[in-house]
Amino acid sequence: MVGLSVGEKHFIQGGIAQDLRSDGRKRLTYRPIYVETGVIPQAHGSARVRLGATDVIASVKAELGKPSALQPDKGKIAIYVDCSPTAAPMFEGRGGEELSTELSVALQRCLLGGKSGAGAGIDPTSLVVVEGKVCWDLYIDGLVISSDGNLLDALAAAIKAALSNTGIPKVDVAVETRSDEQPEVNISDEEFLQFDTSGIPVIVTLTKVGRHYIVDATSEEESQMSSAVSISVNRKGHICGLTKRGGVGLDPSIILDMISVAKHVSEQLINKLDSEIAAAEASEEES
Amino acid sequence: MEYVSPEGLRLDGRRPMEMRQLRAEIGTVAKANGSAVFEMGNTKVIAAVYGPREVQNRSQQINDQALVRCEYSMANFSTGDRMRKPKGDRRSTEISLVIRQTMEACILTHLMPRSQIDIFVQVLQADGGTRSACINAATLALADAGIPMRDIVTSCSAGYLNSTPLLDLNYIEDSAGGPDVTVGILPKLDKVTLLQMDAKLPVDIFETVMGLAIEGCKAIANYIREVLLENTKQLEYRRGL
Amino acid sequence: MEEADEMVTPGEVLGKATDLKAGKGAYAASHNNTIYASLTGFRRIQAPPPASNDKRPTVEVTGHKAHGPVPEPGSVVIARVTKVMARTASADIMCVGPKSVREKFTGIIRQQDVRATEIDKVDMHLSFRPGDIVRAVVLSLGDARAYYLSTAKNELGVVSAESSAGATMVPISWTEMQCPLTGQIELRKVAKVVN
Repeated sequence: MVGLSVGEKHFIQGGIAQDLRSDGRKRLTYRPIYVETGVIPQAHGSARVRLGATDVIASVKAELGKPSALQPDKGKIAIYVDCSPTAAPMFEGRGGEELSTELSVALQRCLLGGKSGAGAGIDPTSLVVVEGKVCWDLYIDGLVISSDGNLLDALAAAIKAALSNTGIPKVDVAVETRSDEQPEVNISDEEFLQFDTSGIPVIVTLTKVGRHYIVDATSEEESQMSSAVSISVNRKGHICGLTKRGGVGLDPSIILDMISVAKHVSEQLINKLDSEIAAAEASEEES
Repeated sequence: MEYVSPEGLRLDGRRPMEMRQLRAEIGTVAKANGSAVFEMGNTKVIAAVYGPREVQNRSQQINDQALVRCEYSMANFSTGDRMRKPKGDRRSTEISLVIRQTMEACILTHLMPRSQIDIFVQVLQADGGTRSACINAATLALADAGIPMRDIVTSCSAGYLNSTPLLDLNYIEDSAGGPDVTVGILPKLDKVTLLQMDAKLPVDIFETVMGLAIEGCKAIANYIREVLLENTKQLEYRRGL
Repeated sequence: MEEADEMVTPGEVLGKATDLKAGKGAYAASHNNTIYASLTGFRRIQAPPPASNDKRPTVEVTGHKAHGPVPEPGSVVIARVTKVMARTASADIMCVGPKSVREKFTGIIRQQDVRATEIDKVDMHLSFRPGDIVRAVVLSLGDARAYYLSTAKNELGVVSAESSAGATMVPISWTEMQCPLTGQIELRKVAKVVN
């Protein structure tokens, strides 16, 4: 891709300063968001989210496993992100690994909470079948198909949509088992359990360009950023995680300001996303 | 195991000579020069083409023709059991090579010397016949990118189970251990560009199975041509012509 | 005469090589003298130019994808000078004709191609500076790295340049430009801009 010329850079920066960006949005407006659920029938839950030219897929697969000895009452959740070379030739071979790892770690931090599992969007105790013996392991995979900035927000939205689409098979446990044996389980084909996804946060990334900050930056705008703060906020307005990227330092008061703006923006985003997910689920059932 | 019932139906309800449902969509990756999604039943792949552009690695530059490169990758969730495979395992490398050689044969590479064309295929769902689906998707993406080609390439597979030739094997039939013939053809020029088979098969039956796969390729070619023409019509319409 | 009729896809037969000539988006196979389409788009047939001996009309296929322009010998380009050396100056081509390029193309202006007269006395450093915007004509495809460019015409040369004070300079003769802030005169191979 050809880098931006001086004129284009001025145009982007000037537009942001005047609250009119090059695609006609205001500083705090998201691009239209499209959600499609059930795109991967082989997974337990999946969703595709498009934000302008950014296009990501998230899938959820559940496998029966054994909880770790330290936390016998909790299931395990892992998030992996992969950047497909279709999105940009630079992701070819191992080129996308760095970005993939950065995104995976940021998503884990923002959605899964700390090591103790406190503050997680998904309650890990709900994944336990038999305490200390059997639990569900959730594997959440994200795939970036097309990239035009703001991957983190799009991935978080896709994961939220995929989890609302997820049905975990109901498990019956054979009653008579001795305490030292692995219990026998019977996975039901018909009954599925849904997750409570109301607590899953969304991520709002504020990108600082010049003296202002914007949401949902395109890749052209991201190339002009000095730093970016990704804040995950849940429906109650609690902050669930925070990541700062970019080399330039930020004033602490600006960060607090950004957080309050993100909280405000997230309310609209959650409402928009919930209605899109509901619409996608409805259209999936119809077809 | 019985793969064809006495009534002549396969496990997924198809007839032996029946193909899975095809679906194609052009222009799904906005940033690429050309892109397409191709579905054969539950198998779903995305292809994106970047180029022709300047050669990134000067030592690979070819002075009288374009350099064609291909990378095949599978999404973690594409298979039934989730697995985290390292990128670039031997199977992916082999398929990348097959796709590259097949596409190189149809691109008019001599028109674009000292340039590079990248083809990236990403498998979203694997249910047998990924090789064929990737080639079909790559053809569509190349045509969308406006890269000059001798002809479109289409590919299809056929197998032989329970003494019946079967068209377009799905995953269960593919893993049954029977022969699996993958054919790629240039339909208008009537030439075979790709032919692979595993397991053993008598010569006369091989002929029928290959003939069946070629018929499948031709049907796919007709579908791809329809999609391309429809897409061009749409674009012209949007331009207001 | 130009007629646009049906849409074609790659591989479709357009005609016999004895009746038609293959233009853009079409190719002739030598083994059976047949012309095939190589792109998706509309088939157009154009009459041969009256001067040529070949009376076969040309068949073309015009696709819908617009490719970025590529410099070819004879085209006028706008380039930004990136490096000035004793015998050559290198420049990045930004526009071919009226269209901006999508990829990076580099060009080289050699000492003998700067101006038409006294070509052995040219001092490159008194003709260009890095950052200057130059109008030039493409001489040849050059070597593997760069196109050869020439400014050896009145209307070719520097069209816009910044002075060391940072202001856009005003041309005052075909070898000099003046800074409006400091009044300082700098030497360039200036283009005579004709509207």
